[in-house]
Amino acid sequence: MGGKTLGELLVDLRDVEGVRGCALSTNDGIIVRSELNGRFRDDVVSGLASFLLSTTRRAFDEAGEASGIDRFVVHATHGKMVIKRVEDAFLIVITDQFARLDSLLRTVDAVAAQMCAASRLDV
Amino acid sequence: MNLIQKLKIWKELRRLEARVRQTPSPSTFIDLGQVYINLGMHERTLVLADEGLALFPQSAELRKLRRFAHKTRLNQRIRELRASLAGSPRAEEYRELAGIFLEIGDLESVQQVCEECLRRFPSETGVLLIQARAWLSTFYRDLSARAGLTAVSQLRHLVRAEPRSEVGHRLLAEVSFRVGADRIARRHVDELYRLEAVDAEVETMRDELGDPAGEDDLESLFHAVERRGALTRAPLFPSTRGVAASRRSNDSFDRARAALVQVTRLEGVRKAAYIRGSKALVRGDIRDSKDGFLRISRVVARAAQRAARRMDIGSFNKGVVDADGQRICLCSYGEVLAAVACAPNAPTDVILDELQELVAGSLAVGSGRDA
Repeated sequence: MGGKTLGELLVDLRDVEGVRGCALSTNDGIIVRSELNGRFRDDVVSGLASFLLSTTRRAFDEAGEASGIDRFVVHATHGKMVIKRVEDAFLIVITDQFARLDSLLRTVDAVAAQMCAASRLDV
Repeated sequence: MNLIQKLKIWKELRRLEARVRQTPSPSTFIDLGQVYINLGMHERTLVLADEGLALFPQSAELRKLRRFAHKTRLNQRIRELRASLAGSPRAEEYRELAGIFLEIGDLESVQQVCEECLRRFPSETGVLLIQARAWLSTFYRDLSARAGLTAVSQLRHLVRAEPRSEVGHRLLAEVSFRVGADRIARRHVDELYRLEAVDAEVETMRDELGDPAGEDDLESLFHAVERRGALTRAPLFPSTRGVAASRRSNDSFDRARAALVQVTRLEGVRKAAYIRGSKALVRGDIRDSKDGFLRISRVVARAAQRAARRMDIGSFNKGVVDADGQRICLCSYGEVLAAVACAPNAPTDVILDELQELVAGSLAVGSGRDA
């Protein structure tokens, strides 16, 4: 996936088995790019992921703990969600409940690393 | 349904009813209950479940049948009340509807119904009490300062309108006592003495409170509880579900305590927490009594629950947060939450499995499945 644009990286990620959709959002919940297959609304996904990260950060801060969240994985009854930091933004990946997380997390980490590089050239 | 089908069902019903009388067992009661449910005879199902539980009080299946029949009956009553309120609204019907929602734990609907009632009947204090109870449930569940303060404000409104409201003073005394607002709690305890509404719990509260001096800053006390993630005092008034529930709860805590120690022995685990409602246990590398791990676990699990539901991926049950130099693993079912803080390279799958075992085990004890 080397040398690809953000949009291409998201399309590749969307096509991984078990992935229902993915998006790149800023920390304050504004969508940069999304490939959500029409199943989820951009603003809802980015808003909720932003809410989850900011609430978690605040809880860490208030407890006097370091609050730099690198990755958040949510397992729910009908699906999973991975939120991965990409510099000042975050990558959101939503999967079905059967997705294999071990290989998916490696792919997400790799895509996030490429996005860090790509974002400097093409946003 | 034609006549022949009706006769067949009737015959089957008679056979099962005879079986229940001749060879009573949880399964014969359940079989008959199933037929009653299929025929829409929910009142009869409820009576049958009660009869079964009188003979087999430990049967989880019969308890489930009773819960189902009761819930179905309440849902039917909700539909009737909604239809009636759409025609000619009456305060007592609003009160009953809000009470049912409170009973089934639908706190959002409690608030909606109470607000609607108060708009139409501003002097109706009955719904004010139900609304305050709903906020109190939210406070005791989430330890949210806003919920607690709203409940207190509504209860104060209630006792201003009805100074002889024993329930109002009792709830105010209890919540103030539990957040550490001793002076306020004492005032309401004294009021209960004046109203001659004293029982063992009120007496115990008065003995423990003594004669506190100064004034309480309720707002800061509620916020301190929220920050700490724990109440200042344990409950004095036992649950209405009675001693059995309380015993089950203690059993689940004993089991959780032992399981938590096991979890802290796993590779890379720094501390582990178990939270059930407003009670909590923490084991491992704890800084002091104000260690923030309980609060982090509670807040993060609640936020994940909310995000998962709204994102339409179902109920949150597990989570892993990687922050600077540490990993937090969470497992949550219903009101039970278990969490671990560990090193980033700790075996996450093993930890999540252990947390799931802990939570499932404690839920099994809590629901009486092991009884």
